[in-house]
Amino acid sequence: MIELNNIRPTPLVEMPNGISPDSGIFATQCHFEKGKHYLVNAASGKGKSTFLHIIYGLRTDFDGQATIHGKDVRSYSPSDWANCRQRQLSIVFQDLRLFPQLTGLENILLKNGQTGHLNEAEIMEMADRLGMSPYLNQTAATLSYGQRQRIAILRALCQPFEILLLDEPFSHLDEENIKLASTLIYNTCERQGAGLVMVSLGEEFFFSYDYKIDL
Amino acid sequence: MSSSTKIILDKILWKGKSKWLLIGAAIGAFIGLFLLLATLQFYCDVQNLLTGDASPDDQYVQINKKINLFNTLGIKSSFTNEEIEALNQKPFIQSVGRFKANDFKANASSDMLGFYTELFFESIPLDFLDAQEPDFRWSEGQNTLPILISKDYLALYNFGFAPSQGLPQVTPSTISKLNMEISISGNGKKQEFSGRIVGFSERINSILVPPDFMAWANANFGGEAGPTSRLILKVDNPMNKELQAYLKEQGYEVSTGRLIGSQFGVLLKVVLSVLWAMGFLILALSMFVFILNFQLLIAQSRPEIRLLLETGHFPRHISRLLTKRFSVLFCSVLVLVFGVLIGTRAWQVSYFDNQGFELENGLDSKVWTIGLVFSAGSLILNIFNIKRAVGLQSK
Repeated sequence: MIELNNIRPTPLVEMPNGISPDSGIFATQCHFEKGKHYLVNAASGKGKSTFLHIIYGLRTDFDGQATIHGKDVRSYSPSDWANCRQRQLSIVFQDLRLFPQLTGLENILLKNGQTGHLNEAEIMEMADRLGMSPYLNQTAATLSYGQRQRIAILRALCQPFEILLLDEPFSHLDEENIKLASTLIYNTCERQGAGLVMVSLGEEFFFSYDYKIDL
Repeated sequence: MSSSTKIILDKILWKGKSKWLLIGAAIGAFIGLFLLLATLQFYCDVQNLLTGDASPDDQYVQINKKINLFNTLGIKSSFTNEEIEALNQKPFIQSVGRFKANDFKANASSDMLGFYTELFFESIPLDFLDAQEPDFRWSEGQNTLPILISKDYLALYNFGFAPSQGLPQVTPSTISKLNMEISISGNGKKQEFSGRIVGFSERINSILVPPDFMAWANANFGGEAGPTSRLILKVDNPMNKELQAYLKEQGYEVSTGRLIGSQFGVLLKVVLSVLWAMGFLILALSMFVFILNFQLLIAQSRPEIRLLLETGHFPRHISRLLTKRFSVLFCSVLVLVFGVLIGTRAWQVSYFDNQGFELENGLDSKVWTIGLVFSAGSLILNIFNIKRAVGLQSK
C-alpha cells in the first residue's frame, strides 16, 4: 500500500553518517502493507519521526519517491491528504498534537466527527479500557502527559484506517497501561484488518511483528 | 459536519481570541461605509437641488436693458424688434425668448390666507421653462388660471413674509393645493379667475402665466402687445467671452442671481467632491482595517488551523467556517449602515421639506449601487484571502 523508493530526507543527507548504509527504509526500497505489523527501530536522531511524517504528508523535504496506493504523495492536494488522513492513515504523534483548550473527549469527538466512525457508547467503552473515563471532561492542558498520550491513542482509533502509524506512543506509560493500550490497539487493527507501523527506540512492547526494520 | 463538531471547531477558532479585534473591525467598517454613503447621498441631493430636473440650466441667460434715470421718468427700457433680431443672428446664441409683461391691472386675494395684493404677470415661451408642468396650459373660456412662481418667492414668503405677518409657513405641496382669486381689469372691463400655483421655477425669477393667457388678456384688457422688457437667451456657454463682450457693448444687463447661484453651486459641488473623496479614502482605510483585523484573527488561529489540517480536516470546511463568521459580521454591519442611512434619511427629507426644498424619499440609486458593489467586492476579496490563508497552512 505504501511504497518508499530511495527516500533521502534532506536533513539526514546533510549530516555525516546521517543515513545508515544498512537502513531498511532510507536510500533503499521498502513497502508497507495493510494487515501487517512493522517495527521500525532506531536510536534517537536517526529520522524516525521524519520517516512517519513523510508518509503522513507533513514534510516534503526529501529526495526519492513515496507512493500510497500507487499515487505519488507529491501530487496530493490538501483535500487528498484530508481524505487519506480520514480513511487510510491514522497516527499517534510523538508530540501528541492535541488541542490543549479542548477536553479529552472533545479532542476525540472532533476526530470521530470527521467520519462518524464510532458511536458515543463505543468511544466510552474504549476510554474505559484505558482507564480514561474519569478524565474525559478535563481540558487536555490539565492532563498529565501519560493521560494525554492515552487520549491521543484513543483519537487515533476513532477513524477508519488501513495503516496505523505509532510514534513512540507509550513513552510516558507504565507497563500495566502499555499492556492495556497495546491490547486495545491490537484488537482495533484486527477488527479493521489494518496494519500498523510502530516506531520505537528498541522496545517491542506487547505486539507480534511481521517485519522488524532498522532505520 | 455534525453540529457538535461545529461547536468544537468554533471553540478552537474563536475562543480565547481577542473580541476587540472583531469589534474594532466592525466599527471601522461601519464608520467608513456610513461616511462614504452619507456623503454620496448628500452629494446627489445637492446635485438634484441645484440643477432640478433640467440639468442644462446653466445654458440660459436672462438679460434686460440697464435702468437709468430716463426709465424712472417714464421711458420704457424695452427691446426693439431689430435688437432682438440682431441677438438671434449671433452664433453663440441658440434662441431668444421674449418676456411678455401684463398691460392690465391684476390683483390676487385669498380669504383662507387672508391677504390681498396687487401683482404683475410675465410669460415666456414654454420651451424656455424648466418646470414642465402639464397643468400649465390655458385656453380661452377656462376659469382656472395656472401660475408658475419662482422658488425664491416661496422662500421669501416662508422666511420673510409669513413670520412677520403671523401667516403659516407652507410647503410646495401645500401651496399647490391653495386656490386664490385673481382679478384682472383694464379697458373698463373686469374678470375673475381662480388662480392656482401649479409649479415652481428655479430658472425664472417671476410670476408666470401661460403665454396664451397673456396674449388673450393683453388683447382684451390692455394695449396691443406688451413691450418686451426682458429676454431669455439659450446659449451654448454663458461664460463665452464673445457673448459677454457683446452684451456689455450693447449695454445689456445680465440677471446675475442665477449666475451667482451657479457659481455657488459649482463651489459647493467642489467641496462635496472633496468630502466624497475623503469619505472614499476613509472607507478604503476602514475596509483595510477590517480585512487586516480579520486576517490578524486568522493569523492568531494559525497553529489551530494547521493542527486541524494535520488531523485530517478538509481545508474547505475550515475556510467555510471562517468565511461564514466573516460574512455574518460584515452583513450585519451592512444592514446596520443602510438601516441608519434610511432612518436619518427620513428625518433629513422632512427637515429639508420644512426649508422649502423638495428631496426625494429614500436613498439615491447611486448610493445603493455603490454601497452594494463595494460590499460585494470586500466580501469576495476576503473570502479569497481566507482561502489563501488556510491554503498556506496546508503546505
